[in-house]
Amino acid sequence: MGFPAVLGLDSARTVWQELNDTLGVPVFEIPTLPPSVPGNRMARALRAALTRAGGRVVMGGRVIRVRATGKRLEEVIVDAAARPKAYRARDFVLATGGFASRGLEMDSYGMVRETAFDLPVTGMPPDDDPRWAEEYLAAHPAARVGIGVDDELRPLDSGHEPVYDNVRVAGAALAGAEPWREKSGEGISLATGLRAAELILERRGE
Amino acid sequence: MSMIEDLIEPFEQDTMRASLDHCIKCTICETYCPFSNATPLFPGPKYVGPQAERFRDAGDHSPDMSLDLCSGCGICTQVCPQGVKIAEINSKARAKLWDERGVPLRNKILARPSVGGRLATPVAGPVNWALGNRLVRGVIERAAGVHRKAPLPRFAGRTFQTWARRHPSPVTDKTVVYFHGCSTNYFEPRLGEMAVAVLEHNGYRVIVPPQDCCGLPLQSNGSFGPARKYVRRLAASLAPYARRGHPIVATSTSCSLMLKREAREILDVTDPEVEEVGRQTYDICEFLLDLHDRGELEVDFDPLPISVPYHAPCQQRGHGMGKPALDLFGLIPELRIEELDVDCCGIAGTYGLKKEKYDISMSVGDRLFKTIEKMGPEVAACDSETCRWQITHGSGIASVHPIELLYRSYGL
Repeated sequence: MGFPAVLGLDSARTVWQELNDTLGVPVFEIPTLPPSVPGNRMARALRAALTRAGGRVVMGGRVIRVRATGKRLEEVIVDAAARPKAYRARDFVLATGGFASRGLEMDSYGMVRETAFDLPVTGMPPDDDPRWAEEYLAAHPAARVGIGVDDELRPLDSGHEPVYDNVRVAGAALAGAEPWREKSGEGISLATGLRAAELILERRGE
Repeated sequence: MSMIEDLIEPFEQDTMRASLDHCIKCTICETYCPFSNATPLFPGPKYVGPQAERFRDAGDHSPDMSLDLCSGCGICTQVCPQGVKIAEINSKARAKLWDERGVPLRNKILARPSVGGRLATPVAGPVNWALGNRLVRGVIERAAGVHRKAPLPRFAGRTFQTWARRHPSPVTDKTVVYFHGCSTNYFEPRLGEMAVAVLEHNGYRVIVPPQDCCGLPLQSNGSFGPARKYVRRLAASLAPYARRGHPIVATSTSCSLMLKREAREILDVTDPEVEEVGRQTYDICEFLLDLHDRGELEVDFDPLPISVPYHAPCQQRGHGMGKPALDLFGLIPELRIEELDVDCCGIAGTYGLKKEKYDISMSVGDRLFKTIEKMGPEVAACDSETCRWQITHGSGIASVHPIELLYRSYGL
């Protein structure tokens, strides 16, 4: 039996189990319009895991520039109250998303920018080729624009060389990612996010 | 002016308001709003913010009062992925609402803690007794609309300013200015003494200039005119030091946010003097952590073998500086910190003191209170005074500013 995906936030497992037991049939959830309760469950679980592991979450800051030494990204500088704040790290994962989350922006000339690290974007059709399809929900060539990466998820420049060695890109920011057409936005995010983490740990030898 | 100019002008003058066009109705703000989750009377930030703002023309009056249930916690702006300045839009709209309807006397009084402080300090004993008396509180609730159980602080009976004037801070080549805020001055002078001691321990001479309220309670109660006067006056007291390059260090993350950001973004105060002071304003934990990053922090911390839950107030997160208190706690041996990932304590400054909002406020903070209570710690830590008072009120656990743990660990 299918229910709208609102079966509990903190106690989802308990709610699901009770329904299963009471109804005597397998119970499943059908995704609804935003806000997504299952999405929220996942976000909470991930955030709790991060906090338990000693991580920090800083919300609402906008990256205004980065500082790098050659192919090593050193610092991300974030717009904070009164003064920009710099965050240093050994490794960085860019997961700022595509057009919907302003990770990518297109200006009135059709030029696309990656808004956090100003990484090169790829996938825009050549000038003479069509960018948009007629139908709203059709495959738009321009929608495949994003950050090109190598098989270690490192962002590439126009010569297909990694721009930074210690940056990985995950999620809808990637060139070719079309969450709304694949209907698997979470899939893209989780798969590439996990892979980015694995790559970082591999390189650190853990 | 042409019709086009008529349409554009309000947006050019107000970039906060213009940001509403970025709203894509993702509803993330709604899911994070602690207040709309606690009461069906408040439709949530998306509705009263970018959505309703489209109907609030410059001259039209506000159609409904539900906006008043917005607490101004600012979480909505923090979580918005599109950069809509929801809390700022709401604050301004609420001020307009109160402007039309007239700010009630109760709000005018609650919004002026320094006035209350000056009047009550000489008679703190009787005042505290009265505020702690159930019958008196019942009368106050009926007459003035302050809930009988609202966590009002106790007047200290002395001011931090008096202590500071009598305290000679050792002269060194490093100077900071302490912005103590009303709560330290009238309710928790001990906190100010500890903050000064910690700064002096790190080799700083601490100057405490005469200073008054930052105007935040006036702002959150919709009295923008008086709020601007207060923040400008505060900036004028601190500006001479800011100009000399001295950092201004604060122990209330709410008050310091006013100087850092809210004066400009909500009150539209763009005076160069206020900006100058804002640029030099630091939360004390932020300041100490910066010292540590430069290798300049004294790290002679004694072990503190206790477990302490830490709650970062909503306005602390509004600084966008992370949670420096946590990093400082990490330097104290044997101290076990439980970071509470629960969003809001519910007090929202003066919001939870009000008769019609107290229940909502306690409902918002319920998860936080229960979590802390279950841990059964000696103290909880939190960077904002009104949140501390609310946490103690709701959980029964004593609550301290993070600086107090450093003070203890330094053995001062």
